[in-house]
Amino acid sequence: MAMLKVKAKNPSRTLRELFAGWLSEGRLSAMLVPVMAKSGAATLALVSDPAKMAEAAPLLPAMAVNAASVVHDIARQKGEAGRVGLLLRPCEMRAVVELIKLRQVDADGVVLVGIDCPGTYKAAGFREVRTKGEEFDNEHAGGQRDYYDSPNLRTACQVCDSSAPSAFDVAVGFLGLDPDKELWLEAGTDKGRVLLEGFDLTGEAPAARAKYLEALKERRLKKAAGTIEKLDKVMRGPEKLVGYFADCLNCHNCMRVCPVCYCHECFFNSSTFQRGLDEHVRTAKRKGLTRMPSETLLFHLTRMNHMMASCVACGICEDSCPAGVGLLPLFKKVSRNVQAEFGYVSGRSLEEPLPLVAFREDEFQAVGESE
Amino acid sequence: MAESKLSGAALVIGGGIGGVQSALDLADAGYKVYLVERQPGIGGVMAMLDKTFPTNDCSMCILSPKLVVAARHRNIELLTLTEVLGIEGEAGDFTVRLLRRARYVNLDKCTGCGDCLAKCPVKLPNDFEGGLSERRAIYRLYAQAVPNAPMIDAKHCLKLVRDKCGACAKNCKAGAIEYGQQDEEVSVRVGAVVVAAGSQVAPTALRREYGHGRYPNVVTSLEFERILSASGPFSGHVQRPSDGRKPERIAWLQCVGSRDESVEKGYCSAMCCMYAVKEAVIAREHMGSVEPTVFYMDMRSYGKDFDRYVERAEKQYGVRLVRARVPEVREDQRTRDLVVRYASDAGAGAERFDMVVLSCGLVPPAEMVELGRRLDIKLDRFGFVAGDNWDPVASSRPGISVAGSFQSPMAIPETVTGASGAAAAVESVLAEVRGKDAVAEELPPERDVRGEAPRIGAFICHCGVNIGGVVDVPAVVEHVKTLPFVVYADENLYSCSGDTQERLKELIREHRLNRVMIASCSPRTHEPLFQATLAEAGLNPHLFAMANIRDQCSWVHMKEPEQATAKARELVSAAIARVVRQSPLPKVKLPVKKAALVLGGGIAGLTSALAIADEGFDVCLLEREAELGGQALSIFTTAEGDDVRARLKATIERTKQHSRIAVHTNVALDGIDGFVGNYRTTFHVRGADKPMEYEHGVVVVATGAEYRQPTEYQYGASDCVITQRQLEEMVEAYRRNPKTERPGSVVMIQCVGSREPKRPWCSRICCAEAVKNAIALKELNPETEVHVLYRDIRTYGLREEHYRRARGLGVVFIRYTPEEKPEVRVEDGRPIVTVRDPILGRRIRFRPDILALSSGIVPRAGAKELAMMLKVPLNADGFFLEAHMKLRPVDFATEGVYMAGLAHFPKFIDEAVAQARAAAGRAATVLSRDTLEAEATVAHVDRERCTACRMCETLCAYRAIEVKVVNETFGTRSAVVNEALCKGCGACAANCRCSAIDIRGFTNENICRELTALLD
Amino acid sequence: MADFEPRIVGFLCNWCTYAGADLAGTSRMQYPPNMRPIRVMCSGSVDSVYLLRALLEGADGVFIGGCHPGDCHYVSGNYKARRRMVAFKSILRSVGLDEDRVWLRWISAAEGRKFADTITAMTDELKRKGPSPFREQWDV
Repeated sequence: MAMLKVKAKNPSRTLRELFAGWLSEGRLSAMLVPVMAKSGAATLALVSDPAKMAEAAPLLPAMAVNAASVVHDIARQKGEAGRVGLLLRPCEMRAVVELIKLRQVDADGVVLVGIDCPGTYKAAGFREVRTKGEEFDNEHAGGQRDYYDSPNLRTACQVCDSSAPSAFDVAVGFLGLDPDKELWLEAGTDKGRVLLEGFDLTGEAPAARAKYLEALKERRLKKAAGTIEKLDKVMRGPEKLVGYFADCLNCHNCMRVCPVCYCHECFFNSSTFQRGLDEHVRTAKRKGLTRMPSETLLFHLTRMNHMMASCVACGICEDSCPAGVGLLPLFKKVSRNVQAEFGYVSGRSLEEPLPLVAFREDEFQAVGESE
Repeated sequence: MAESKLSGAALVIGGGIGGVQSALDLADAGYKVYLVERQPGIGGVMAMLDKTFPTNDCSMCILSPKLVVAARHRNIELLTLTEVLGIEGEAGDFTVRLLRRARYVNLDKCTGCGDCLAKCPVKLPNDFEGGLSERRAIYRLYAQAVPNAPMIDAKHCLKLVRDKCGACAKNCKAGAIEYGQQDEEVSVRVGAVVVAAGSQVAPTALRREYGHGRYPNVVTSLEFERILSASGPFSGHVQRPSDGRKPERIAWLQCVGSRDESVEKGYCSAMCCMYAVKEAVIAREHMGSVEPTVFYMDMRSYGKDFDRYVERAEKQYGVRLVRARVPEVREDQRTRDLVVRYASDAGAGAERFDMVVLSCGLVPPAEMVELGRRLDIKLDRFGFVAGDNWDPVASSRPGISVAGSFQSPMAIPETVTGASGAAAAVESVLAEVRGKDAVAEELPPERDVRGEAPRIGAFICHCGVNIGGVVDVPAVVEHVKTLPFVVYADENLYSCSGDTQERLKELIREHRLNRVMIASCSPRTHEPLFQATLAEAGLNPHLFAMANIRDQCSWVHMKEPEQATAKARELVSAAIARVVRQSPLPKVKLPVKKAALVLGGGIAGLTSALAIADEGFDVCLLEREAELGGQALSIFTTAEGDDVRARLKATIERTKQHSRIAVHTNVALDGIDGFVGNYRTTFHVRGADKPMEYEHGVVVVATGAEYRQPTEYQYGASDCVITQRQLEEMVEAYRRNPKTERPGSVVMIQCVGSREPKRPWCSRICCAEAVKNAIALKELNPETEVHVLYRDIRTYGLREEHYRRARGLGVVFIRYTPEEKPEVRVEDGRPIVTVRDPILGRRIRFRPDILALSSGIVPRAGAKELAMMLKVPLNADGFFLEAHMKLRPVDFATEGVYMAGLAHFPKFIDEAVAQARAAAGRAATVLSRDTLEAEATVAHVDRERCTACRMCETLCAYRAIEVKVVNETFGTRSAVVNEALCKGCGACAANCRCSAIDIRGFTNENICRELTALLD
Repeated sequence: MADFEPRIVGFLCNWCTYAGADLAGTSRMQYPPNMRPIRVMCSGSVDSVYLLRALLEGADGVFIGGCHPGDCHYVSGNYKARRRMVAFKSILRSVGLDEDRVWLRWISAAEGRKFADTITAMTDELKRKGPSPFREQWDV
């Protein structure tokens, strides 16, 4: 653990310099970071030139895609050039950890640099909010009391209870601290220690951060519980479930943007789900009529079944739904319940086995026995 | 080879699990087999059992697939109701005279529908159920009997006795009843014989004082198995025969007809302790209110995981174990309860029980003694074959091998081991005529149906009245005609009859059918038959589907014909939906390297190598040490008096000189790659840097185990405290040089380091070793005082004779408990042993000249490394874990890898030899083939869809799927199925989100279509 | 709901439950005709999508029968099925669907009686529950 002194009350710049150093010293071949492009796009960039690290916005509080989706696309195999650093928000990091366990990201080729995240804005329209430029990012990082219940954050962020990185190589923290003065650095692995070489890592973790995170977590959990309670009130019986997805266009966008939906081609794009006209007519005959396009709910429930153990509740699905289906609360609830059955938390650690490939002979012994 | 006069056939006597295993091994290794069984069906005693220890597997569930395979095997001729009259000739060329008793049911015509059974007016006690239920004069041995045809009990059949009735014939639509059948004598020519005739449960008349037969609530252990069985007389509800009441207190009395010289049954039956504990556990599982008590002499849980099982029984299931003798059982005539009087260390006692189970031992029945005479093989005084330690599967007559409990009392795994070993013995006699009498499969070329529109032939079976009596078959035919792609539909009276098969073949040709759906009985029993017919008609057998409208429709909805018809219609729709999408499945053939790698040059390894080489295959034997011989190098004699050194030397010499065996010593293994039929092993001889490579089809792991150096009881503190093994060395020295000074007194402590929390297993051999050395000491000098401090004396099987003899010679056995172990201190260089004598009830003290510690056997430290290399598992203790504790005792779950000897678990020389031979028998089922045919219904990966997430790798229990680079240019990875290893279980496919994996014949698409059709 | 006949789709493992069902037949044990069996090789091969599809297409119940723990013909398929069932039922519960319409039971090849009793019990329970809403609900 070490404290990183912030220069000129600009934590964004301090971090940029740190990252640029990693590139110029050859500790990393490139680094994936959030940027705010001149065009106004709040997005990500893979930076290889230390000088161009100037474009990076390490504290950018906006999220267009879950960075894990990008990592999945680019880091399935280890590159030749050397390790690539990934600056990841906690939900992004959890998704990357799941993808590593699902063998979709080669852990050897990347260094996971996690950073505290109190919440993000939707990327669309963010440029209107960020009129002050980088100052906004820094202020956002510093204005910590506002996070608790800010209605401006993405809905997923408003109920997010994991604001600090887990399973990281390097963690950058600012919550509970004064980011104008100092940032907190920690190495979680040897890979991480290589990046932090030169820092004295013997220091204690700041108590203020832990305390802050605890309080934030408590508030958020309460809020999440409220959201789920609201959901529970409406979600009774199949009609309500069908109603929940009533506006779905069957576009499958939620699947495409989901960081842990990792298939090349979706199950729903297979012969199992291709029916001829005769079959559709037979299905229609059973109920007299059948919805077209077909199997909307089957798609969502199957996707749930496939993803729930790894879902990190980042909420990108909801952000990307053109029909405005409020996917997050339901997915958050379901994934939390499923993971709890197995004492599993997605993205918590690289060691915990994925719940559906492990089993013990002496578990769930009541399942399969008559009541 | 064609010139050889030897017969390429073998006779297997006995259709129990032993005989069936021998028959399967031989038939799979290229021999024609006659499998002879006295009963109307095969299965033997195992078919009567409810569960098996120590895994609590359902006995019938694991047995019946084997029976079905045996009955269907094209090279096994099943001769039921048959017994051996005599045998002439010699090894390689025997003529066996057989008596085939009339069944009065034509096996070719009988469809097994069972219509005849209920119609028979004669009711008789069902012997299979211990007389606890009834059968008719026409009956099946048990519901799942193989063959499934019933037989007529000629003694009670009204038609046969008095020429009246004839109800069964009237009700048999298949015309299979033939009252005119006669017993007939036939001869078969075979090259070798396996006797696996089994034994029977000791008659309770041996212990009349227990009241079996007089008191209804006293049952034998086998009767209790039936009571526990879900298919038994009480449908698995534990109840008292006298009044049907649920028993609470149940007592098991051990050693009925065992360990009892007063009735000339001096041996231990080797399995009763375990089955009694198992029955107690299962009874308790059935009803939590049961309080089981087992009265025993010594708890002989000497096998792999047995002690753990007993411990669980006590702690988890509350099974009460009472070490006591029971002189008598009395019945309270009013309540029919039973009073068990017993004498234990704590004194005499009497307790009341609701039921008493007699743990009856095994005895060779009189018929077996007669069989022994007819075969002209020597039997011991009890009537067992009891072979040579070094060749336990051999009888006294060359060419005749033995297996199972006719050889000596043994449980299922030893029986199966002996059976495979006996098969290997047959193969060494008949190596040169392998394949001579076996029938190869001949089929017409397969029609290529790819690209054709489906043309389905649909057949709805009446099964006599079995289906047609409930389901409206013509209506179902009309329904099936409306379904897409059905071009031909008809009804059959019996779909399975011979003439229907011929008609089916014609129709396939005539109508150019490229798919067939048959709605009849269960695919489990009949799919192979219909698939064979398709193949004979040139259609790929997987272009087929069945609808089970009998077993799971007409038979179970007899009172709701309309609903049964509706269900049949839906099942047929589903089967059609399924068959439309079936595609021809390729037969995958993999070449086989006809050579074996044997790891380990101890007795097990040497024996395996020799047996495989004698079967006619090349062997490479690798030994880690500089010298061959393994643990046997430090053994001098067996308890039976064999000169181990001389015999070991002879075995080593024969191995070294065998033209088919290459021996390498001082070897370090570098790697083993591949799979069944195609392994490649690299190794190097220590000191030489040139690595060597060997290609082989199978592997035998015979890497042994180690004797543990004791750390207890002052070992090392005095020269007078030695191991049992060092004592044997001493005894040997006294023998050779009678003048050496001998100890005047010896104390032995058993279970040193065994049956301890850290090493919870019984090392199995130490009791007999101690007894052996004690006898030797007494024989050398009757004045030598020998005391053996033990927990349970486990001289199981015929070894009990040595225990009895030792006691006769004045060896004193003193029991101790793990709570009060003996204490040893050393004074003036000599050990002082104190122990509590449970009979005297006080502590006694010895100051022996020698204290010998029976330190157990521990797994080899290197076992883990080898296990990883071979991708095979070890058990919790570090011994290699077999594929199945009961039925695959020498196989690993990984095909083509076998084990023998101490690597598996501690065992005696004869057991190691039997297992080594068994490994050779199993190995031959692979090595005898030029190619291996992989299962057709295996996993298939769509590489475009596969994301290489490797979950399938973790889920596969057979290591049959692996993620590999499939395109070097792009570095693309995908799961790849090894079709030789895949069993088609679908664990991978069900978890594959991307739908990249499908099981051929059971694809997601097929099943989804099937289920949609069921809901239409 | 007295005259309501539930439709149940059953996935029976070849080695145990399907064999147990056959034994119920050989022993002529009577049970209601509401369950339609599909033979699968192992309970571990039953993809949850089959269950979902059956439920959404209007099956009133789905039954899965496998070998008892420890008895799996394929070593451990039923343990995997068991885990998957835990996850699956958790999802049903969470989205407000009736998990009791899905039954997983271990029935061995020797338990013909248990098979008949289980199917009877399941049919009775589904009769009590009434038809699945998805029988009518078409806009899923």
